[in-house]
Amino acid sequence: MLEDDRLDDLLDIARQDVSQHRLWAVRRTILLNATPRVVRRRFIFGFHPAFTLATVLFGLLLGFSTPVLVQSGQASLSSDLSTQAFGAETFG
Amino acid sequence: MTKGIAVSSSWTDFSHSTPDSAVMSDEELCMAVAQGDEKAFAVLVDRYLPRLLAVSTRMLANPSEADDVAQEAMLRVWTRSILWQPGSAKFGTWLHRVVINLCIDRLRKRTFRPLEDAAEVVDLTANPQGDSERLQIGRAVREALDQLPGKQKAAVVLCHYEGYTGKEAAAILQISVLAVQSLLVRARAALRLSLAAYAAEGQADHA
Repeated sequence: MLEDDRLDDLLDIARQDVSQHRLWAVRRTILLNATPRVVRRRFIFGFHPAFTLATVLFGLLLGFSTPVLVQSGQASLSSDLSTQAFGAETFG
Repeated sequence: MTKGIAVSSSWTDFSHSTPDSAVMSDEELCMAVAQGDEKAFAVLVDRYLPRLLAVSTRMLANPSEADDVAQEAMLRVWTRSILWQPGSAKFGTWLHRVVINLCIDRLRKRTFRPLEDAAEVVDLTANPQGDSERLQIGRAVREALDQLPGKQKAAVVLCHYEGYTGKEAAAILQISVLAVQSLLVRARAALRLSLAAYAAEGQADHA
């Protein structure tokens, strides 16, 4: 059987130091993998919040712009009709 | 633990230092990490990685597995620091416990020895006789350590190689000081037996 001191000597012989290069490589990998955490998103009706927001904005835009477009279309139509009437009177 | 390590000012730029972070305690840094502070995390990595890597290397005797364990432990700090409670244990103790537990899990799951663990071929022409003997002894001791059960190996690594006191090792392993002493006694007895047998073989070979 080995003496205590001799066993300690043997254990010290087996001591393996971690190289600076390896330490550096592991450190770099850790820091690169620790990416900034993504904020947990709350999905609305199963849709991504950005998609939901875009849809709502598009709907609002469409809702507000439709009467304007209709009015504009009506005005354009009446203008066309009056032009046609003028043409009919002039050249008819 | 080591204090005052130079710290990177940007995420992967290691050339500058932020003294404010370097003098913060582990607990303060951990709370900052919980808020997503990348610099605080880099300080913790600088402070603990060398020791964690040494522990995992000695526990697993396989550098690539040891690297994985050290990385996993540090990334747990990054992702789960919110869950860590300052009153429960010292941060360093908790972190070492994570590494030891990860190592023991890996040792249990090992069904075969990875190729990297295969004994290195000693080039006797390149090494003098003394170096060759030291290499052989080192390899024999590592093999003897590998034969020990996980907890006994952890006790030897923590107390002999890392220089922790019985009380500190007990806190890391979450057992009593007496239990640590018992583990050490059993581990040393097993090592004496394994290494005595190897020495006898070596003498027989030389004879």
